[in-house]
Amino acid sequence: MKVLNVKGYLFVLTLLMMGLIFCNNCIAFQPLAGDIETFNPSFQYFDEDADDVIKIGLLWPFSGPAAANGAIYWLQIGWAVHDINTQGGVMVDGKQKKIVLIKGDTQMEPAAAKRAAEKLCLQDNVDIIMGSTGSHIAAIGQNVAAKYKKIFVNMASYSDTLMDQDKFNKYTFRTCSTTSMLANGLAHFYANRPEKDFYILCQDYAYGHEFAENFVQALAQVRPDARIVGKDFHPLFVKDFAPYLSKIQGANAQVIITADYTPDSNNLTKQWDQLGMTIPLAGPFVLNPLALQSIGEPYGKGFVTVQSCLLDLDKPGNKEFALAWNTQWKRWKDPLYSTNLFQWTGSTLAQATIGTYWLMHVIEKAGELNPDKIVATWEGDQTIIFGNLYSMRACDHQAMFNMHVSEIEWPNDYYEKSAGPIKVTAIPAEKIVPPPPKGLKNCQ
Amino acid sequence: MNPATAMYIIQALHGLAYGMLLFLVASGLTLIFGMVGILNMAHASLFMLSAYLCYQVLAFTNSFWMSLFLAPLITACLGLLLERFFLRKVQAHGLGHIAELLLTMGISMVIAESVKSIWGTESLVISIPPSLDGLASFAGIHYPIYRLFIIGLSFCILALLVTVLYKTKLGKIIRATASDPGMVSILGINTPKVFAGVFALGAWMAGVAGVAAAPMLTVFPGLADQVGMDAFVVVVVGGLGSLLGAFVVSLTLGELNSFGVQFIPKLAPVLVFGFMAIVLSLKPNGFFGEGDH
Repeated sequence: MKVLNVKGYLFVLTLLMMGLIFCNNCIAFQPLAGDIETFNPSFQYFDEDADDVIKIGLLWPFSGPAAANGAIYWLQIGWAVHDINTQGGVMVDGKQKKIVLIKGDTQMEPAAAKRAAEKLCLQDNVDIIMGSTGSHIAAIGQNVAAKYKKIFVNMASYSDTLMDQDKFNKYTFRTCSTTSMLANGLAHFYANRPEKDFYILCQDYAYGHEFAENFVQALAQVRPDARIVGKDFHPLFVKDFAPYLSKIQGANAQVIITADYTPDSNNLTKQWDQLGMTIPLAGPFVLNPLALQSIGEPYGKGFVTVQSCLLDLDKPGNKEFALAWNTQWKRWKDPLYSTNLFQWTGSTLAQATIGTYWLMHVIEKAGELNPDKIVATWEGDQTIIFGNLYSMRACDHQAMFNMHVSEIEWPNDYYEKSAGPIKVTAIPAEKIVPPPPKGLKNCQ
Repeated sequence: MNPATAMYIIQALHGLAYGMLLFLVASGLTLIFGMVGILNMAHASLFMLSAYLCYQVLAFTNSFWMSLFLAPLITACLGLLLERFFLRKVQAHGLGHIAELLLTMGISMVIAESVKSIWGTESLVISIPPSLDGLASFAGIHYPIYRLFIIGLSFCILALLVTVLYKTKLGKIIRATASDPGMVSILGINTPKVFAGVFALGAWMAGVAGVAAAPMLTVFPGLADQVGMDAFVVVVVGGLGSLLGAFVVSLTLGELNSFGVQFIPKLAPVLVFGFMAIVLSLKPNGFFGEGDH
């Protein structure tokens, strides 16, 4: 074997050094590896005119009555973006590019949403659009994005029909759960529980009806002896839930299944308590620390929550994320973000943060911002983020992952004055992800 | 008690409680219109502002009763300032009801945005005061004490209003000013002050309603829109400016909602508007409205 001389060693050493320098540019970012301590959700600034950046349009309500919702996503996505940017950005076209977020204010109104989406595409020239709360708004966002061949990432709208044969387009991906995934997850949780009499109380529009239908169907499969003792659909933004709740008491239900979100979920929780009810609420949005705090002890103990990602300090990955978040939350002084609502991440809070990390991984894998390349890369992609496995179903661009359900308890280690998840049950993705939509060409 | 009878009583009480809360909001609105002739589009925003003020006073004093005293008082002072520095000028220039509508709409937007910038856009936590928490039991029925408190408070406000308007000299002056301000002015009464006082009283009532509703509903920037529409339905169907009309229609809407949910839940949300359509088609000025408005 020939031994290297000094020149040989120097040559090898030089190669190693060059490799190191080269690799420094190709190392992918890692969640939570950035300078997250400098993140302040109230003071996020992005240079919209900067060159060589990845422009992301956020299509959410940033004004009007639903502005709180936009503020939540600004925080969630801002977290991931700050983390990635402080690691140098995302490797695209052979160089690291930072991410710039640009707001597109939907005001939660279709006309305003269309204007905002068009502006993001034509004037701001964003590379990708993320959105949108409200299925009717998401539908607009994904149509406008497809018209201009932009990727649209749905991180907040659950309606299954958004990705069916009528509405699907190849540039849209959904990283959040669907209504049926949430309902199926909840039904599977009750498969082995003693409760068998359920009352359904949901909002009277597509989302509420979809949730109820899916829950009933899934429950019939996994728990044939269960009974739906009543079903009501109330208008959006009900002031007085008392008539509904008294009716439910009379029906001798053991669980109230509700897909309501705020402000309905808050009013429901408060008035549930005022009527002295003991029948627990179960649904995706019952774990709201602010609403639970308002009803006093035992702060919603016994409610059941279902989410794609639930706070779980026993789970590696999830624990690091939750602790990092909680540490930063203690520094946020803005009243908008300093409430207990944001004390811990998980549930809907975590969903968009995870979706943002995933999207950026995909872009890095694609190596360019060409939408067709991103589509090809993301279809069938798998990734593990904070201990959960996420897969993108190629034929309808629906993310698949386990659903998590928990009966919330008080006292707990998370909240002083709110019940929180202690024992989290994971419902496997194969049990809760609906089959691909019939009639969608790619799925046949 | 027979479960069916208990159900009827409880649903009737639910209807009464919500109806009286609605009356608290709508009565101030109809009072201002009836006496001053201004359709105050900012009324629901004042109601919302008072709910936020309730939160703030509670944060400082931890006393719901102090909130019930201070928040409506601050709201009334704001109403007084709005009347003095904005609405009076619009009226002095003879710009008519359209200008008043636009102005009060603008004020409501300013209040909404101010609320967001001061308290944020997230829902605020306001709990029922311990002294009003829990259930009252009678004849085997358990009913929330707080809802009974709302019913009682609304009746007290109604009694106070009726007494002031119809049993006192001040009431006579107010009614006379509403009827013929020119004549009253000749008699040496400062009519602008009377109008300002009535406007402040209406704002105070919105403030009382805001504090009463805060522990029951969610305090968030959409609260004004949530309750404002119902209040306008009450005022229009009851007859613009009619306190009796507002009272009757508030109770009717509350009961329609309660029993609608119990017996025909799918139609319950439509009942209110069906009722409004029927009343207005038969009596275009509302139940107790006068044609001259």
